[in-house]
Amino acid sequence: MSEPALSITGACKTFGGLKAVDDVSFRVNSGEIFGIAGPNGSGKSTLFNLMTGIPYGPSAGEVHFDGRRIDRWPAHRIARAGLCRTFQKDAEFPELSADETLQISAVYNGGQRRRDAADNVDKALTLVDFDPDRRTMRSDELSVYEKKQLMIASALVSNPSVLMLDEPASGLTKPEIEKLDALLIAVNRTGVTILLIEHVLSLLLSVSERLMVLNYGQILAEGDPQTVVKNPAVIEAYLGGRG
Amino acid sequence: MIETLLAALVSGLVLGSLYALMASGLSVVWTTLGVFNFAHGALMMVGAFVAWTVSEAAGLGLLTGIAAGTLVAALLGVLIERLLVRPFYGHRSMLLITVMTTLAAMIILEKGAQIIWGARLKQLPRLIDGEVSILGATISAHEAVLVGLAPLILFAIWRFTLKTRTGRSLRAVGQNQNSAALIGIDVPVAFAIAFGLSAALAGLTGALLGSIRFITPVMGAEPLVKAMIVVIFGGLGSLGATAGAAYLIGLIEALLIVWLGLYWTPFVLFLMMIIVLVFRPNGIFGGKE
Repeated sequence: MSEPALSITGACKTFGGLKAVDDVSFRVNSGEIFGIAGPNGSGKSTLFNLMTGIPYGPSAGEVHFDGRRIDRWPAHRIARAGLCRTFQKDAEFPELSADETLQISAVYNGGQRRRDAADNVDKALTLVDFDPDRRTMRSDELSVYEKKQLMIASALVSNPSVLMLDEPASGLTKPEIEKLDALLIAVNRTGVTILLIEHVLSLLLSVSERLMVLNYGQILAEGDPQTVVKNPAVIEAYLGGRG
Repeated sequence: MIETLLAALVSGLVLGSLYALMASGLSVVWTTLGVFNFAHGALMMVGAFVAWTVSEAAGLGLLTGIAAGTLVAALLGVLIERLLVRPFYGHRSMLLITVMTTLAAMIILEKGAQIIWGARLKQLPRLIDGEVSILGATISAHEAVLVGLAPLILFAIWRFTLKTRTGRSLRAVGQNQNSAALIGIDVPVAFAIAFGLSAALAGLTGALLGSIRFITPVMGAEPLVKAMIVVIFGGLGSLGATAGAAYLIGLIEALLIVWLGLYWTPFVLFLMMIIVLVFRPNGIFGGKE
């Protein structure tokens, strides 16, 4: 079997007596889109947090990325190594423009020189189809969808090998979700492995090659998306018993 | 009457320059870390004492003294961040804890200065001897240098935060620490740079002020309080607003001293600060909630 892009073994995260993530193990293959679903509070975002070190690492377990163990690395080192993520919330840096945000990301995360950074900023914004006329606006003046585009572009500008997206469709309209669907496919086709946490099942089922469902911090099911959503345990936990 | 007003205006310019340098340092730390550094005035005092030691006690010249005072204050700032602020990042009561730890740093530095340099008053020579007449009012050439230097330093800091890689990283960290780490910025290093830069500004201000006022272990207390008024008055978070408020407060203070006298001036300044906090909590130059 080829080396996975990401490998998580026995990951746990406890907050006092609460086990938010409980002995979770899975692998993400290079080049795939791996979906993660689960009810609110099931540990999805906590799992992303402990994988990226923001704001905390795992209480126990191991995270391997690109063949290296990263669960004790500081967050900026993980990002520089090529494992990037986005958050659920909107603009990353409200007072910075899209151009400024991407330039910082290119220079720090990508280690690029100023001229190369400018080229890569253009490429990333073009890939996410960002309106060129709005590149110099403050991020907090952008629309919800533009903020999502900016978050994805700021991750892409440093040429990551794995992109982790935390509910990118939240707050979007149906036509915008369709555009996001096409965007994720386009990004994946450039060779970027994608981990996608999402509540919008139609998007998750449309783009994911494999799907994992969490409940109470544990893996409930994992595998082919169509098979997973028909799993009775998943229907009971995630869809509230509706068939 | 006109002559008195012009004299007050020039005096306000000198005070404003001093407050602008002090308050911009406070502002850099606040906008990057969200922490109010109560040791800022004490760092100013250390800058003055080190400048005096190098310039007068060691006889290496005033410019070397000013450079040494700035550098030592910067290093102390980094040390304070590392030992007294960084351990509490992410703590739910970080703001309150760092109020206490930076207050502790202030007391330690002031008492330490008393032990090292003693209680005898000290003063640095002036950068330039002589007097300068501005709008008919006379100030020392050294004060004129301070008035000319302050806007240049503020402009340099503004360009630094806007145009340089490190400056941009400080702005990014100030707006979103988690996302800053995600785009590869070493957030603790950015915090240390912010503290170091802020402390360097305090040290430089102290070294320049040491030629105008006596150098004592508590010389930083009053400028710190005035800088806090400036930062609250102008609105936290913007260097331009801080600078504008510094000159405005300097001018108001100079006019109040002329009209009401030294004793009533702090009363009125603090009353103004309370009124601003009640009606414009984001400062007179800040946006509305």
